[in-house]
Amino acid sequence: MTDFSSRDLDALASDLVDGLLPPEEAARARQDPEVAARVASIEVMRSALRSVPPPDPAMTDRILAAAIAAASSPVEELPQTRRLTAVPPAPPPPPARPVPSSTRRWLAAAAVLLVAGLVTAGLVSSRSGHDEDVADAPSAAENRSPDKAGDSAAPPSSSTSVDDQQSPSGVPETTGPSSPTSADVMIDTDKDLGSVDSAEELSALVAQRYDEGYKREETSDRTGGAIDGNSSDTCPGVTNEGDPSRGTSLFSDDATYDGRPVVVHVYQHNGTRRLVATATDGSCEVVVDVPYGD
Amino acid sequence: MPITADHELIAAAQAGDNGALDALLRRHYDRIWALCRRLAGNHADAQDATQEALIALARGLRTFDGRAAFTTWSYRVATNACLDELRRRARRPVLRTDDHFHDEAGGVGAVDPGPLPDHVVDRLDIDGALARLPDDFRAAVVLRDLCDLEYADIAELLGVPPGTVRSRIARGRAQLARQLGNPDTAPERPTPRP
Repeated sequence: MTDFSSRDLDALASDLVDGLLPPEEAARARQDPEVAARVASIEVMRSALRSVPPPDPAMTDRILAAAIAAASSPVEELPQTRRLTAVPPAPPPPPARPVPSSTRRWLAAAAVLLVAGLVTAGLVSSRSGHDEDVADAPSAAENRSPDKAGDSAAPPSSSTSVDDQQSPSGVPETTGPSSPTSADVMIDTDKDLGSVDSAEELSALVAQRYDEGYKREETSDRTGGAIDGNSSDTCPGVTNEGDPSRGTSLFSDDATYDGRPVVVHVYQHNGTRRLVATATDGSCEVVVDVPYGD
Repeated sequence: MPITADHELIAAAQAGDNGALDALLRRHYDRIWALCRRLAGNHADAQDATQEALIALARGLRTFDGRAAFTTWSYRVATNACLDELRRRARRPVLRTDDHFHDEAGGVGAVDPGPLPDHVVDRLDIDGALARLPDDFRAAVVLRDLCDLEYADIAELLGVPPGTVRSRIARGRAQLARQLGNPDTAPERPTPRP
């Protein structure tokens, strides 16, 4: 009897394709034109499914290099079925609802103003000798303890002092970046580009910083180039001035990309510029590598 | 250059030989790419998902004990990494146009051209059809029909009973066939009996 009306023909055809039917039932199913048509359509679908567009060879090399670099980096062992993205150290986790880039820029500007206020408060504090003066910046005091605010004073030498402090903290650790010192926080907050989710956003922020404020920092504040902190200390071949093999670093700054702390460089090589962001969570993974500018 | 077996490369990679790790990952790259490409549905997301998958593989290799075949294990790790990446992306608003589903219509035949002529496959919007499948169905069908995993492996990987896998594969295949325009699988089709 070749009557499969009581069965789901789709399921029957699927089982037939996968050899899950008993021999007798399979033989009868093959003789049913409707089942046979479904089997044929599954085969067509399979062929289409297996016709996968080829990967980009250049991207393949980059991805393999990133994977090998990640394997070499000292990171915490995580369950294999869990996402392996390291937790960023200081900033809060990325919001579930993405913040518009314009809002991020405002937040970044507000952060810069906040830090400028902190620095001013710290200067006043150090000159007057009263640590309690942090009360002059109440909003800052909510984010930093008074002694940290005091530590962050003396901005003219902050880069040098951070250099000194980053050496011990830059020792590779098994769980990613170490807890930042108060001076680290000061520097990171001061120079951080903010949080972005795409290379385009990052490029826009870099352009904004590069065109407006970055040059001033470069001449007045970047004495030690220590803002790259973690990556320069933990990523092989990457110095404070970036990765020399990529060219000359025209720009260097910290940011949070897709929830991960990164150091951002603009490299110039053979007349072309590339925007490169390298994770500073211990993986040294290059998370962005795109042409920059013209 | 001698062809080294997977288990030799694995042992060397676990001992810290990055050259062996590179060779191992490179050997299996196309498989992982194909999996992530089909799960992602477009090139850009597939690249990110593949990177996440390979990083997971490279790091997870330290704990690979050889009890499962490397191919099966790597599919398991890669699938989870890909799905995690895609879920994370799905939480963000993305301006997705139909172009995403047609972006590589010409890139056919890299991994397995299959028995169909290229001009036939070119016309099939498999990415679009896959995108319309529920995630659970898509993963099951891709793992079965692209990766050739057994039902038991798929069940373990997806954390569902084998019967559920069987149902998802059957329903997913039927939906895909309909999406691809095969009228033979239309549910309302009259049923002629021989």
